[in-house]
Amino acid sequence: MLSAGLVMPRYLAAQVKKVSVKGFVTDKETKETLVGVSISLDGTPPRGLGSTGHKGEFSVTVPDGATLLFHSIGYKDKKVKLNVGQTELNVDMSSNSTSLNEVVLRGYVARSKEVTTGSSFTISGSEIQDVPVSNAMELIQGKVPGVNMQINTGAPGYPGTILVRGLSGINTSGSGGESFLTPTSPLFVIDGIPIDADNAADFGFNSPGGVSPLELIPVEDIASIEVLTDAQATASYGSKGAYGVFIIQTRRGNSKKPKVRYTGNYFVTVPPNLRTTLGGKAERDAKLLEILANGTYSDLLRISSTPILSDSLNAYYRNSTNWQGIYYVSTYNTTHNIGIEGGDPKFNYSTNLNYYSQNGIIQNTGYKRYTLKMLMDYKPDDKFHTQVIFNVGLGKQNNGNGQGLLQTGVATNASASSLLPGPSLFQTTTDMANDFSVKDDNSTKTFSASALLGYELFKGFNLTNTGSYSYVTSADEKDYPAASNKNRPAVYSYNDRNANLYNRAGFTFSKEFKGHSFFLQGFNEISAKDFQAGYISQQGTPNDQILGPLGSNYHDSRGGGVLKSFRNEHTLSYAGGFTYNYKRKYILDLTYRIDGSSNAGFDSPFAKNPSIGFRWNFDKEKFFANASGWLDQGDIRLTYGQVIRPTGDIYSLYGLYAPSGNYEGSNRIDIDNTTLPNNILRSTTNTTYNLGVDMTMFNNKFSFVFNTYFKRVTNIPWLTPIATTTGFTTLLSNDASQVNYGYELQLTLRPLPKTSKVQWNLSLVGSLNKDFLTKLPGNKNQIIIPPNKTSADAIGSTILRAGRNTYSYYIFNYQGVYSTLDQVPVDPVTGLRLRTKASTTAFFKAGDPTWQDTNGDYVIDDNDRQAIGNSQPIVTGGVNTNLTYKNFGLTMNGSFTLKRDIMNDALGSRFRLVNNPFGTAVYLPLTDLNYWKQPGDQATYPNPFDYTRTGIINPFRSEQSLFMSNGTYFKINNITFSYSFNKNFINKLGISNLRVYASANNVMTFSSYPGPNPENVTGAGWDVSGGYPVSRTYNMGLNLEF
Amino acid sequence: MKKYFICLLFVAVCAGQYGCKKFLDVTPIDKLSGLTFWQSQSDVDAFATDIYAQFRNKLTSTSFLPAVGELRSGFILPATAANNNSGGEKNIRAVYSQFAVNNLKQSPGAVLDPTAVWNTQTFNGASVSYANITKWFEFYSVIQSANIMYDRVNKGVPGVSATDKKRYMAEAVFLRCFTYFFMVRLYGDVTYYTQPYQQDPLPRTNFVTVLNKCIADLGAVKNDLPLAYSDPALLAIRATKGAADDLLMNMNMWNAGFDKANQATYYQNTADLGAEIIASNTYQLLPLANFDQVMRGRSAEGIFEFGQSTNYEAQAYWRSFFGEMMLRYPNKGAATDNNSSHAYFKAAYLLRLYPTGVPDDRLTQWFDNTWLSESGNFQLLKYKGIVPTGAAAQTIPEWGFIMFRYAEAILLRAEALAGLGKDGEAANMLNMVRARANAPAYAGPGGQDLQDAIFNERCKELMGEGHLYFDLIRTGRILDPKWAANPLTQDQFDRGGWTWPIDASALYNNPYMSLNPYW
Repeated sequence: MLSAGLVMPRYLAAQVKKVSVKGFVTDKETKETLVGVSISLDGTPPRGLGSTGHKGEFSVTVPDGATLLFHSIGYKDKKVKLNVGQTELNVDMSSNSTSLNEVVLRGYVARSKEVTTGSSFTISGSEIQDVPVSNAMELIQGKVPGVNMQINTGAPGYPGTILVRGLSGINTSGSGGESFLTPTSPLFVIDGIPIDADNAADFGFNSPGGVSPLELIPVEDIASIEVLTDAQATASYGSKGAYGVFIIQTRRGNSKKPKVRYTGNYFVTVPPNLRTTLGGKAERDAKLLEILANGTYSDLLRISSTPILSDSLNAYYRNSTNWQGIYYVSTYNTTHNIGIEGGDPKFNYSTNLNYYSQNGIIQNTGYKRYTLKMLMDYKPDDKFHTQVIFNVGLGKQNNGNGQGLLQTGVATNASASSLLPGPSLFQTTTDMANDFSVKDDNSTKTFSASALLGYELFKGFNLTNTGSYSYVTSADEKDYPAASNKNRPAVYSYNDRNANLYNRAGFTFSKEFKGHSFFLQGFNEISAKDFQAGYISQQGTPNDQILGPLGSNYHDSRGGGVLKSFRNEHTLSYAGGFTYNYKRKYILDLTYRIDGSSNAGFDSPFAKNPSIGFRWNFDKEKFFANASGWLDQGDIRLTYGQVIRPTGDIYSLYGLYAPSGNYEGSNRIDIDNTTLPNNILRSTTNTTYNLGVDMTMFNNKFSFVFNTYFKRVTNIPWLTPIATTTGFTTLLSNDASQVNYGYELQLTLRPLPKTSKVQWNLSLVGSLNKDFLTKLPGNKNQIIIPPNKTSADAIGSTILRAGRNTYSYYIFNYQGVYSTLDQVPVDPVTGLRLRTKASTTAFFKAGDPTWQDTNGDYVIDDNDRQAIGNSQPIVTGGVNTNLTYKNFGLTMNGSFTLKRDIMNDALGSRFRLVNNPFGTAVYLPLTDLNYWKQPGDQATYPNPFDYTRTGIINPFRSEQSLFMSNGTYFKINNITFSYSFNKNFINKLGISNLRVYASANNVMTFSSYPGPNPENVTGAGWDVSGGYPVSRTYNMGLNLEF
Repeated sequence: MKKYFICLLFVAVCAGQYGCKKFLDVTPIDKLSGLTFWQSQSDVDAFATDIYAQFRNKLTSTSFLPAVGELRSGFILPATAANNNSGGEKNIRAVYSQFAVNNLKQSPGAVLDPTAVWNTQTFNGASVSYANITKWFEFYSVIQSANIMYDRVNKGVPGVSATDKKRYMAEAVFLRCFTYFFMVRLYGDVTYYTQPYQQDPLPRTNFVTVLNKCIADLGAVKNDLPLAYSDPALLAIRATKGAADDLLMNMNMWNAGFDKANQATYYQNTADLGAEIIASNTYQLLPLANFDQVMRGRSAEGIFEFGQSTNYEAQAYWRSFFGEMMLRYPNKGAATDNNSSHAYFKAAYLLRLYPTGVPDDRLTQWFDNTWLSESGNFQLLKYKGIVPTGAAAQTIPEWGFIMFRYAEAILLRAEALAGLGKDGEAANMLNMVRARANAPAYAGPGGQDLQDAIFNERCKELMGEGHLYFDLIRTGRILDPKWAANPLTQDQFDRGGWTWPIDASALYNNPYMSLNPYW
């Protein structure tokens, strides 16, 4: 202020009265306060007055009625003429769509991105609206480099998988087609409160209970999502941020006049193309033909005792039922969202009410959401700041007969023979009854409140405290009517409660002199979590309508009680950060955080996470001073960070002790011999090095962000079986390690001049990630994750082999079909032809598959499997484009996945369906496939119709490279076409804004993949028919603002 | 300046909370961890008790002691007649004749044939197959538990006095050594370690070395054990100094049979330890008329036993008791379904032990007039106890698993003295046991004759208690047709024909492990 006074001409100072003007600068759209906006007195040349502080506040002394110029890179310059006598001023600046100088949140504090070193990407709320989805995270697919998002289930209310910078673990849960990568979910920070998003992971991914808190955030209420990818950026979030951090800010009010926003969507979800089946007579003929051609004499006789084949006059067997049509249906849905917001930076409020309803495309499934949010923010002066947020939500998920992600029952039942009659009162089968009439009421209720208090003790030194309490309770009630449960109505009732008390207290201090700025931050976080779940399972309730009372009854009880997932955890963390920059040119960033957990044990309860980062804003160098024509901004960043995540718990560290009866009248307490206490259990450590370059050129017409990283994950836990001589069966070892490296690029193009009527921007996001297993526990060379052998199909056979990509398939190497009998190799020692182990008489013949006999013993058995393929995608990314002309807008978003191997068991099951002509399963036509028909044929697929080979050779077993396909795809995620009504016109109606739009979601997938959908596969890469297909959505929507 | 002061204060308060580890001290209310356990003497006691019970459970997981200690001698054969063999019992007991010819694994129908009817039985839902004898897991669970107990007590447990601390540590050593001793007698070389939380696989160690290490370990701490516990319920149930002495004697005598070079030292140690037991005046030989007390356990004669009683727990697997196969109605079960025994001792063997004309109360009290019948009429009344009238066939008298008792210690000392050539003292020891049975004092010559007499006395006195087969092995008499019903050749013996096969699960995750070559 003194300097401002000095540079002013003396005569002016004498004449004009000076006033002190205070206020805030905010982003017009996100309502975030803007840090480091330079303020100058308009004139030629403009005179600098200072810049906004870390809360976006400013205070300048200027001549009364002067014109102020606000400038910030990334925003359009704004001039404001002060009225005479005006001492308060709030300014909102609109973005000029460059990402390089936005405000980012680091360690819960808003910072100018220009002076941070970590790698992060921000998506504004407006980019992800207009498409109704149950989980807002779906909409970031293909928009953030380094984030591999796969929408691999269409189940309403279930999330896809999110991997930030590749895999961070080697564990899977479940087995076979139901195996999922143990989720390594990012940390979500919603309005400054860290949230456990992995609700479902507590019970295993596919078990009841749990609408993730993420699904309770309405898209319409999201102001911005910031994704932190490297270890420097996430360092101040500690252990929980080991797999990336997503910071979600909801909307704030910023309008003197209260605004009422209404958004309504009316949408249709449509099942994907279903598979073609043979119907009615065509099915019977195909089955008969198959038996006549390949069956034995006794099979021929068996036809007459199999009525579905022989009794074509029987009304029960002479149908042509489209079973898929019964199960998979189109549904009509709506969402409504009302937001009321208003206020100014001193006091503002926002309220959001949301209703979302989606019926699943599988009968008897769906998701509903009701939420209410209230936010108040009060900043009476520079010193004091308080903010209160309340959230109430109810999520209802109906899983029908399935368990959520999987709908195995439906998949089986939907492939019933078309000859059988459709569902009717008298012909309901148990399976049918299960699918249609099981009443499932799976709901999650959340309540959360948070309060922030801030006080500026003296200039530059701020204290803040944020506290929150959230209470989540889930209940899953499944009622099985008598018809579906062997004439005994049954009830399954699950419920849990999850409470989380959280507090964060901290300070920030910033100081600037002579171009040197210092920023110091420290905070501590404590949390107390409580979780308990229990269930009752009982059958034999009085009838389908009266479902109680439920009590303990030995005969009817099917288990229950408090589940082992009971948990009571306290955590305590301290974090500190220090940033130094010189003229915003050279930046040094240091953070250090320690995390303590009551689960980690006493010896080393604190995990330490250090990080360091450098940044060079080279555009500010003198030698670029005259490059302003082409270089707007440029910087290079280099960071290193380590994030440590404690493995195991006090039981795996110190052993689990439990009473075990008595011995000669004395009590016994026994150590649990299943897991050997591992005192030297080390924490999983993620070490990341990141090198990034950001540049904006040619007046914002072209910009790019490039990052390359190397991430090493060491001490990955693995439950290893150990020698019997240890007296324990397993050990939680942690000497597995993994390496990921990759490149990420975001290109943004705005080719048209700012003055053009047509505005177009295009951005391309791509990331390449490679993962390698560098070490397995006990220095093993490989670990085989066995397939689920209970199903005959051996789905999920996976191998972890050191030196390769993490998850490889462990399958037979398919090399073609034996065209003629002569091609089958003969063991020169025994003179016997190649055979399978299953039987000593099981010899291969023409039309059978050629599998590589890896060990050369002329027997094809499990030992001949090989590690083949990579179930994780190498390249993921997306393309986004936005076109506006006058009041019309067109947005398109696409995403792609390249170089991924998928096991196409959908095709396998198609072949396997025809191997039991006497059964009651549907037949799918195979005419489009080049299979072996007669000796001499050069075919792609073995002979599917010789059903007698099934038990001997099993030619269409899942675990073979025949079904391994390239899972590359490009998907048009959504297209939105919008029209905003002319303001002059609608203002007369009392409406300030009216916009209508039409959008389509999951529009089209381009892929050479021969299966149904290359994205709708398990995390471990298996395309099993039991999955929930992803639907297509057509939507009409409306934004209304009063 | 004030603001700086406040600022500093704030930082100090923040930093001060670093010491706030107490916040992280959450006691889980649903489970006990190694952190919340080991907080009192009763914790240690409960854990120690559990180790004994774990071992006992191994002994009741199949007909363990009869199989390893008695049946392989070949002097016991199944009784095939009479009505006790209804319900397939006859087929199950047919396995005894396989033991008698050492057919553990070679041919179908062998003791360990998994499809044989005696291996498909279950008790309380668990398999009671003889394969349980070949599995190491439970033994090593005991050893790990003992090592963990030693480690945790050594680190200090609140409320445990210095004396008790040493006692518990000695008890842990005793349990570990006892388990190793037991395993060595079954499998020969075993994996040896004393570290707690041992997680790495280890190779097998020569069994003489194992026992020497155990002798050294236990010898160093045995004096920390009490002579007796004030609580009568613990009599012979928990480790005492006497139990440690007796175990040391047994380990010495085992090594004496294999480590011939140092035989004299082992004998001398055994003789000295035996003298300690006698001098301690803690044990006495009970009158033969009260012998059921000895077999029930917790008697003045017992030195170390594993307890088992329906008063505390449900009845254990009945076929795990030796006495059960040698009793019939009215000493066991009901007349309708249990009027013959399942097995008998060969008459020739009994005549060797009880030569005609030599009075011996054991003959009159432990046998009835059908003692040479070689049929289901045979009974070994040593195991007679109180059985409710008309009880089911599986209801048996209450027995403990008597590992060591005073008479056994005396005879072992006698054997060691005789080995040292101290014939007079040895005969004195022998006569102590004979006197209790009102048998005439040994009057024969010294040397081999005396040694043979002592051996016969052990066979007679300890009949059915699980010593016979091991005595045959360690004295080398298993090679001699005069002493063994089914003698091994020297070659078979050297290749480990006397051991048990080891379950293949011992090979899993252990590249250093090898199984017993003979099997």
